Amino acid sequence: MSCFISKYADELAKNAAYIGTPGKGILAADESTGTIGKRLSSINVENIEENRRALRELLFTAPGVLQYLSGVILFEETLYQKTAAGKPFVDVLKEGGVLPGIKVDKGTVELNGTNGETFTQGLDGLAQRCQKYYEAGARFAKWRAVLKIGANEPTELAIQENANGLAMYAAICQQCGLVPIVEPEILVDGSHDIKKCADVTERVLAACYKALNDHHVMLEGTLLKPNMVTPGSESPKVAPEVIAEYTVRALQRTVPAAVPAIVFLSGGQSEEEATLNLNAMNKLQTKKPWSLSFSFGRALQQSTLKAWGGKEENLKKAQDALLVRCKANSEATLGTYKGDAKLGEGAAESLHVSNYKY
Amino acid sequence: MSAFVGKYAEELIKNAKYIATPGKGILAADESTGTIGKRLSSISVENIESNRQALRQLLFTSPNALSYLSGVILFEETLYQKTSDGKPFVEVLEENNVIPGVKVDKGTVEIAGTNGETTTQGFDSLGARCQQYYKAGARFAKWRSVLKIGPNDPSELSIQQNAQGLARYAIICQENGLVPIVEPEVLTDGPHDIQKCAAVTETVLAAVYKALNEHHVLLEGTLLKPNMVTPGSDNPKVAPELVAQYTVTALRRTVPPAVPGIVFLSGGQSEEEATLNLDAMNKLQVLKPWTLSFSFGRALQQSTLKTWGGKKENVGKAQEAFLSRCKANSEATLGKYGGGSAGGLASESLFVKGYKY
Repeated sequence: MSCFISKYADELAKNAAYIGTPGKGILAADESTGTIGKRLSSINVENIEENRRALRELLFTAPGVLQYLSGVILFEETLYQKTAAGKPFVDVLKEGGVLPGIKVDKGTVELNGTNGETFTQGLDGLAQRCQKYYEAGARFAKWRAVLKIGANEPTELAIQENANGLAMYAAICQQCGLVPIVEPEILVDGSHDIKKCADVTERVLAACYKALNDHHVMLEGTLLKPNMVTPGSESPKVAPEVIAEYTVRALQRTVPAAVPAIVFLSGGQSEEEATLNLNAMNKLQTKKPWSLSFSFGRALQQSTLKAWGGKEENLKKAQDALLVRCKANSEATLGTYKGDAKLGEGAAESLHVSNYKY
Repeated sequence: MSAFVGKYAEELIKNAKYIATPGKGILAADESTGTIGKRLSSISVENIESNRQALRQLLFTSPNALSYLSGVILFEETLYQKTSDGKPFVEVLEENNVIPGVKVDKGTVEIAGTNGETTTQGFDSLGARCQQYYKAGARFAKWRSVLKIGPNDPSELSIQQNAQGLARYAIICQENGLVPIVEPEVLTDGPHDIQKCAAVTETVLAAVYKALNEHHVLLEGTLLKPNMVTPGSDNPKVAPELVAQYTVTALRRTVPPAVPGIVFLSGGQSEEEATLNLDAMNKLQVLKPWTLSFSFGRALQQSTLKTWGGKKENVGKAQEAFLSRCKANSEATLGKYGGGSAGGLASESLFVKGYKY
């Protein structure tokens, strides 16, 4: 094969397939310290380690939640944290049948000479870091590349640099036993229509899969985390069925069947919006050789965060809110969501932040 | 979308899907005048127009054979020929629900500075020619690119040239209503093993689909005609199940699900070999989002040719031989081939070193 056969090949394929189990998906809880600070300050909670730990314990020990998850993405700090009772988070997840994952990129920097386009850093010493994370219990990784739509964007330079970065990261992960989630996020910012988003998404994904092939990445041991295909944030919204049609078609034209699962990012969509769109995709009667699931951050945690407000007495309310969203999204992966989830406060609230940086 | 959606888009999608109907496949009867001359001389038949016409009439009027075909690729001359009763071949095919196709490339030429690698010519007036062929009844086209495996081959130059050529050909076809069959043949010549063939095939296919995306080709209105993944011709053969596994893995890693059908070339495989390999692929219990079928030339016509020998009195028997291969391959597309339709002729290898159409 043109792919490099890592000694972890079988394990990678097994873990990637497991993450794609119908009825399950990923909780993206890998907000960096800076980003989680913004979340905490929105509910007037101080950004100290104990609070970050408390929030994640709330999420990972929420009764009934782990059965709807196949993976959780962690920030490095969280990988080594424990419950108040002293149990490593990694063990909590594993016992719940959930694979721990780890964010390994180090954020974006601007590409010189472009109109604010970026590439993602984090390749230095990546292999050593991945080996450490594997020892700590991580079995998959995530790396976020970002592109934007504009009059002349994304440029060929931005597409190539980001595709190449994703491919290098993916190859290194596989050598170290971590399933790489490949995330080429095309920001929703802008006044473009859904056709433009589809056009750009297809071009970007085609470039990604060419780069992955060039870098000898074993597709059976990867996952894709793309944006859904939607109108720009400044354009009128469209029905979930339209989003489903454009999104699945873009994927049919670019993502080889060897990829076991596609786990969507939620971008700035509200919790309910993201769930309805995912559901519409899974209802669509067309060729889908990969499972379609979720890797949601904000779209899983928003109501939970608001319900918690940093107060211990709100623990149960907050955990119930998380369960509602996890169950709803689980149904959405099966195309059986009826739109009847008890909407928590803020579940219908848009989570769009212009030019969002993690 | 990044795909060009022109006035023929719906028709292209419909025709590509029809060609990919399970249980059917393509007869590649598009041998150029020079190449068909070699076939005819192998059975001591003179290479004149009436003999070329007689051979194709034999094939297209074989009772019941057309029910196993969704398309036939024709050489330009044949597109305008008729039966001895005066009925255009194109009509014979259309009446039997077989879509006429046409070879539009003009052969390969060497790329200077490489070790005998080639690129394919045929772009001059291609759009205008496609329009003519469409008017004559053609609804799909074929263009053969060739790559070879060697210590330093295929080179990046050859891969890029051939991928870009296929993409440019494909979009021109779609602009003019013809479904392009994309054929990047990796020759079987050589001492390499099956893993090497798989690696090269995956690299080539990845480059081809990147180029198709760059050129805005509508994948739903195309077909792929690849080589099967096999050991090199200098090596011992392997079981059909192994060919199936390596081939389907290579395709799953590179061919987007939007492509409706994959129609294999037979290379130098014998008739029976090609059928058994295709059957094994369709029996494989793995997710395949495109149909797997055949676009065979030699592997459908070999026994037929030999049985005919150019003699009118042999036409009936020759047509039976042809029907037998069509039926066998139809079953193979459904994974239902039981084997054993091989006469001695059907097991004969058809490998010719450095094969040129």
